[in-house]
Amino acid sequence: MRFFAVYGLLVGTVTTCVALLFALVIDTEPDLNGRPDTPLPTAWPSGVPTGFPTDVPSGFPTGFPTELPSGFPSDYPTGFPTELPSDFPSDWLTAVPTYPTDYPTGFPTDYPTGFPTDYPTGFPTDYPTGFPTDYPTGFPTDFPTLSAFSTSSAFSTFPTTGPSVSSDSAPDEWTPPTGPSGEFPEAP
Amino acid sequence: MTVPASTPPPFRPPPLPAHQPPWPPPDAHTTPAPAPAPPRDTRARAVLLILVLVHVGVGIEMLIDLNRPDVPLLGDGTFSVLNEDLIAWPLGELMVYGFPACWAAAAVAGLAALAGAGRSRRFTRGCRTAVGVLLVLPFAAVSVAMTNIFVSPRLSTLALLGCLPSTVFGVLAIHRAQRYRRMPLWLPLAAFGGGLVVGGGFGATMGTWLGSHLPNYLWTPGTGAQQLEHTVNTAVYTGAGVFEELSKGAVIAVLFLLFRRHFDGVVSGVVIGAMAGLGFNYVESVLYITYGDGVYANLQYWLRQSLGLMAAHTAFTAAIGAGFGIARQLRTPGARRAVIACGFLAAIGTHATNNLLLRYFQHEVGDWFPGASDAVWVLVVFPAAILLLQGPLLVLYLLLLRRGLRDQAAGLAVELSAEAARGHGAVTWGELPALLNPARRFRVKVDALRRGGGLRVHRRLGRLHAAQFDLGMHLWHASRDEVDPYDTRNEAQLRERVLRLKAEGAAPFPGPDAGVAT
Repeated sequence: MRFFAVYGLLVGTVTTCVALLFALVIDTEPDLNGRPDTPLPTAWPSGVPTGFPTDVPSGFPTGFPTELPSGFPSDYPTGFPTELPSDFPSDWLTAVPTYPTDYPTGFPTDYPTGFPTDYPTGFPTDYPTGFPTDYPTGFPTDFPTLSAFSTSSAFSTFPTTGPSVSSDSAPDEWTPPTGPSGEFPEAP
Repeated sequence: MTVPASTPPPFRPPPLPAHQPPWPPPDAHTTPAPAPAPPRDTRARAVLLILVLVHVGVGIEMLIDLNRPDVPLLGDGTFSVLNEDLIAWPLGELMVYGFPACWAAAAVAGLAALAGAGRSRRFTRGCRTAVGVLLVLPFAAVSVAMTNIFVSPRLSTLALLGCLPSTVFGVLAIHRAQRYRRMPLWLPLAAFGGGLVVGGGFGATMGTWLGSHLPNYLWTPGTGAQQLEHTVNTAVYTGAGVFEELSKGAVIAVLFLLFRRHFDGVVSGVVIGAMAGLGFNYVESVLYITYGDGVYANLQYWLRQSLGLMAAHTAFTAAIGAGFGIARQLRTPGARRAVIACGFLAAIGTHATNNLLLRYFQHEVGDWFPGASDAVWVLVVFPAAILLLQGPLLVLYLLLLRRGLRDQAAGLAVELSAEAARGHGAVTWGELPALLNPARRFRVKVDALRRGGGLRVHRRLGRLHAAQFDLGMHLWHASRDEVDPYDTRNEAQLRERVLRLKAEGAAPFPGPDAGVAT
């Protein structure tokens, strides 16, 4: 198959030449973005150890200390204690803490159950309906003049807010119902 | 379209293209008896030689690493695993201990095979198998390590499973490219596995050794760190193109030696080569998807499993396979070697150029398109780069496929017509139009399925057609005097197989109108 041999040889030769061109001529330096390259040191800095130490440095202790260092408090305990501290319970190995007896258990039994029965039902019948009729109409004509504002008594003729919509009943007439304990019952 | 009621004229073979050699007339057709098969040890020795050469390459790299210049500040290299004071890395331990251990075990198995050569054939065969397994085992271990399954198991598993559908699609597409005689599926799958194991393992091994000793060899006083890294990477990228293609080519060579009777020509070679490349592409995709804990997973999947699935490694190794496929039909050893060498040269040159130019594009194209968005990079710039760098080989193997299929069709037209004229019944005139037209052949099988025959009839028809193509291609090779000397089948056996399939399955004989849409 001369076609394949020629085509393959051509493609292989051209691509090999292109690869060599890029490797040896065109793309031979890294992209440093204008920064200088990091120099590689040629040898270890002088004085830096190059291997693991085999000898203990001079003056290094070779065994465990046998006495306290100087300046250490003299009454510092050495060794393991042989007795329990004086206030330590003597039966600390076998004693079992008791659970307090007055700890409440279970759900309280005096919890009010059920929805209160004396809860007012329905909308109050004495709720005033309609817009009050005794609301002053028209813009007041006896609006005090500017000079009248200089004395506090001028405000006594300024119409107050309209009568309360519940003017026929005292604002604190409705009280929330209470339970047997005299308090507002919580939700069951 | 309605079929006329009158009987159509008998099928006449199409005229031969001008480039075809003059065929003997059907009446005077004679099939030379196949030459007696030479001893099989010749092929086994050749396969063993190829595997040993691959390991010799690894051994040479290890020796080069052992003798590298001592530059204390550049690291200890792969052999640092021998230093008990340092924490060893698994891949390094595998390369330093695993390969020599397998060599020693393979040597023991080989000696045992030689010692027991005259005693038990089963023992000898077992020892040879052990040698083959031991020589492939370290590459398989390196390929597994390449997937980073021990570093990030969850991500690696996701990548392995995620790349599977696209890879399976590629395998089926390449296998179905054989529109006439199709080799058994296990053979392309063996090529896929070989590319994955040997190609991936050898490429990673050589790349690791290069990265271990090249800094020491390439360092000169005054060289900066980035410059040294750039130079080392240039060598590693070029080496990747060489070593990876050589290892995939070794897989194709082994399959070609052992199963040459399944290679018909350039189509078979391209299929086997593309399968080996697809296997390598699978393991390399997982490597790059899991690199850096998956930071570029999406982009790597797009470039390697979508855009470049049928390009890149598939195209590179398809060129090598094409060389072997063409060599199958050449008579002189010199011509065969030249064609195979052209395939290797095309693949290695394109692969190395692809690696180097992609590296160049990465740090230069940013200046050419400063305002390009990520979408432009992914959808325009990268596809353009891949088309430019891998397009030549993509065009090559597609053209070769087309050319090879046309040659097969022309050869089968002549040989199947001659077989029909002999009147044995293996091939009839009525079957020829469907046999020589893949679309009509497919329609015949679909019609059989729709007529209530079920999958059983569909498969039986497929086996019948495959047997008829086996017979036709055997006759074609015989007429060109290129029958595989290791193929023990003869014309009579293949014809008998076709007749047995026709008798067993009672497959309907499609008429001249079979497969024609109505």
